[in-house]
Amino acid sequence: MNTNRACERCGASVEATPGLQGLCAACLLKASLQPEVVVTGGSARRPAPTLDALAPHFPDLELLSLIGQGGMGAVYRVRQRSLGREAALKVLSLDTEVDPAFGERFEREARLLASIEHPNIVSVYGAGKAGPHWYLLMELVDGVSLRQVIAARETDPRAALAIVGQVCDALQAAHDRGVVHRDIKPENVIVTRKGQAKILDFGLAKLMHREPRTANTLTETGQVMGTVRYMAPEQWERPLSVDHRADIYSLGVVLYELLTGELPMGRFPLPSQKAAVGASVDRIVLKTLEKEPAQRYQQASEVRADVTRAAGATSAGAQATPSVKDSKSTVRTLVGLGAAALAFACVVQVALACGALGGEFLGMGEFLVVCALGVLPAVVALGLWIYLGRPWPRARWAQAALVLLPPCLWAGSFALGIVLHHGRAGLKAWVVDGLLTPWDMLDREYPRCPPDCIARYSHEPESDERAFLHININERLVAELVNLEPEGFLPATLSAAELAERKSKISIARAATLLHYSLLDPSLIEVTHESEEVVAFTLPAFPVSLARNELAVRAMLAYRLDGGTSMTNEDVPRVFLSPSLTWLGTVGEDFGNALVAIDAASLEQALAGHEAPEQLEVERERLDELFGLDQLLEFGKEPLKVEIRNPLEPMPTGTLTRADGTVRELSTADLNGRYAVLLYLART
Amino acid sequence: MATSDHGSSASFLTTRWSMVASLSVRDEPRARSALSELCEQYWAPLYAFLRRRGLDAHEAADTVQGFFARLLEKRDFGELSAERGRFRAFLIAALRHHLAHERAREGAQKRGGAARVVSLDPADADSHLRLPAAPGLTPEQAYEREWALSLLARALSAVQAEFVADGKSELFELLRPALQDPELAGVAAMAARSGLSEGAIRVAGSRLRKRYREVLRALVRDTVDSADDVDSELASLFEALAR
Repeated sequence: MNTNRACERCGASVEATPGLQGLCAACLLKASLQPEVVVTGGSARRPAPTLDALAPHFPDLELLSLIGQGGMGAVYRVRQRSLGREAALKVLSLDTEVDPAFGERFEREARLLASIEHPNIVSVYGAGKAGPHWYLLMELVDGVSLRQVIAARETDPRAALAIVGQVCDALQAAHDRGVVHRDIKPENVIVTRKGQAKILDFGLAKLMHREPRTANTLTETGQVMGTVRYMAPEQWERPLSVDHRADIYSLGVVLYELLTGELPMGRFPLPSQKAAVGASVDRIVLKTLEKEPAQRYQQASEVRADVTRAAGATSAGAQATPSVKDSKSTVRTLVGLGAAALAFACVVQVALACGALGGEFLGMGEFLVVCALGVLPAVVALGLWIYLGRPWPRARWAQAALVLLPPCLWAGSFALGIVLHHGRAGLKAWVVDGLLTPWDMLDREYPRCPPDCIARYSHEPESDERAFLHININERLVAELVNLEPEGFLPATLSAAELAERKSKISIARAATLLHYSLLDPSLIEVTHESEEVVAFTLPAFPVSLARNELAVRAMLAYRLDGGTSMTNEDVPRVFLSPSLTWLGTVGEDFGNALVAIDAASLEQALAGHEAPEQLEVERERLDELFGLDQLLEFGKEPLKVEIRNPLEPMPTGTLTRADGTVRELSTADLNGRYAVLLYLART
Repeated sequence: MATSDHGSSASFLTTRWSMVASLSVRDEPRARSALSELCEQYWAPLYAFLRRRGLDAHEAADTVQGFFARLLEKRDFGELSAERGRFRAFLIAALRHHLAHERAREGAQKRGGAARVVSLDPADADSHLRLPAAPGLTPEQAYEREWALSLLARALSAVQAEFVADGKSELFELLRPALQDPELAGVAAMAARSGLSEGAIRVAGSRLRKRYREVLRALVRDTVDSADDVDSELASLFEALAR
């Protein structure tokens, strides 16, 4: 008795509950919920009034036949004599005694129902009381109820979704008017031959339910239970707080039943497990069947949108029945579209501002103001859009596109602004160098400058190769750097005055070392005083490739030399070379290498008795040892290679930019019989 | 489970609410018997609830006993019963109230007199409750499920008692499958076994179902506020079982 076994009927595990005597609890309860067909045979139902009995009360109607009988009453096919049209007459089955307020309520509801005109809602022509009968005169619909459709099992998922979509339209129209159906079930949806769905009995459930004496609720157990199964949980738990979302729940039950032929009871299988539908339909069903109304779809139109989408996915050729929206939902759509357009316009505004920023038509401050003016309405519009229930797209790619669109647009616009203003080179410079070398107007620090320096870097708009560097240096920083020079560095043979001068200037060179820059051709530097404290150095033009190397310190050195105002090319050998070396100029176009000369006597002296070589490659340590060229190397940038050449040997091909700024081919003529020292600083 | 109390349908007329009301009356024997009836009928759901809340078998049994004892001794659930509604909801609310109260006087001495009210063996209750009850059930769901099961069982034993009283216990045994199978799949075998015609068995089966339904509805009616709520209560029970 206590062993678990599966119930043969429902497959559930049979509880080993002693009191149940081995019966399956679920089946037992289910069987006792079903109406007892054999015994009662429907006899509990009040007989429908006969045509003859009704006829005297409806003089304008020609009573044709009894169409059907349900919990609410009996329905007859009639012809309106005055209009000659056929209609359906529903005679409500009420107990004879109804409370006096019922009539008033009934008429109010009927007026409300009559005011809803929708292709998917059965129209109400009239209502009232005729003799003892409360009646509704309605549009006659030629079709079958969804109950019959389900019983015939002849709906394919596409058709089911199309029908549910129409029901959504109808519900939305009614909900917009504040009318809740409260009894959505397959019996209340008629499908015409053309596939048009029409909802019956809007609002009647509420009307009948309010009426305590309207019987039938207790006697016709099957009827009521049948309805209960479509009811939202809150409908029996908190009947007073029921709103339109209860209809959405019931609609979910109907959809599930349409798809699977079963009711979603207990732990029910997903629609996709029972029918040829995708996971999107599962999601729709699960969301409509959420126990908490707040978790469900909040509007039938939302269900409609998802159902339409799912129908499209279910079959590419699926044609959802065209929906006719009422004016209110048209207004919602228009407002929603307007909000979306406004949001998009704001995105575009910010994009234009980005472009203007890139093109330097706007300063940073103005740009921020324009952005703020654009972003605020965008946020408001987006909120409005979401509030109006415009659904966030479900597809991942669409979500990603929505999120990525604005930043892409902004970045693209910014880039376009740069291109328009600076040309393609400007964009390249910004992208390639911009990450390390700040765009001048952004006032970011030149990355290799010490903290007190501000370097502004820009490219020549017309050229791919020329760039500008603008550097501000604080005088105090210079002083600090100068003081870093250690004592005992200088040769002891100098006079006191020479020593003082050299010391000052070598200190500058030392500072350059500390700053990791080398000095090659300071003649290009323009120096201006921007304020008492700050001096600006501008290098009007130099190759882009050098921008990250020497420039800041070139400028600094130029400042410090000659009383801090300017520095000429002649200063270089004076400051940085030992007296035995002669500065000739820089080799190549990019100031990368340097050519200095040394006279034979000095060389011999330096070689200390060694024979002067015809051509010598010397390592750094050896060079120091041989020539005392420490000062030379205080440029900061160690030469990749040092070459010493005999003046009788031909020079390598290349150009020499001389101290006076003239450019010529490298030639031994410049050496005046001295040895050439080639310092390969940038490349060999 | 004892069945003698339900020998006739008249005993259903005692509503759960009147039983609770009688607890408030200083009529010791009547209150005592009402309490023991309550206890018997609702032991299992409350116990299941507590077990799901993580109490072990003894604690749970102890707590249920203490709960009923308190119903009898203190009669301080007036504010809960005042609102009425569903008895199922009332009972669980009262138990929660009791739990909160117990927690509040944590450390105080054990409740007195529990044992004299209830004598159910916890081990026995536990074996009864060793359900395959899905591990995912919340305490509330376990409670509802047990509630549904005990209602079904009580209705069943009541109907059975009626048949027994009429001397038709064999017929009941024969027809019992009809209770869960309206289509009566095994009708041929039943006819062969009993010598009755299939038609007669179908009619008798549907009568049995009808009676069972009446009894069940009456039992449910006892636990809800108005007759209108019976159907929705049944639907809730069905849902509880279907979980």
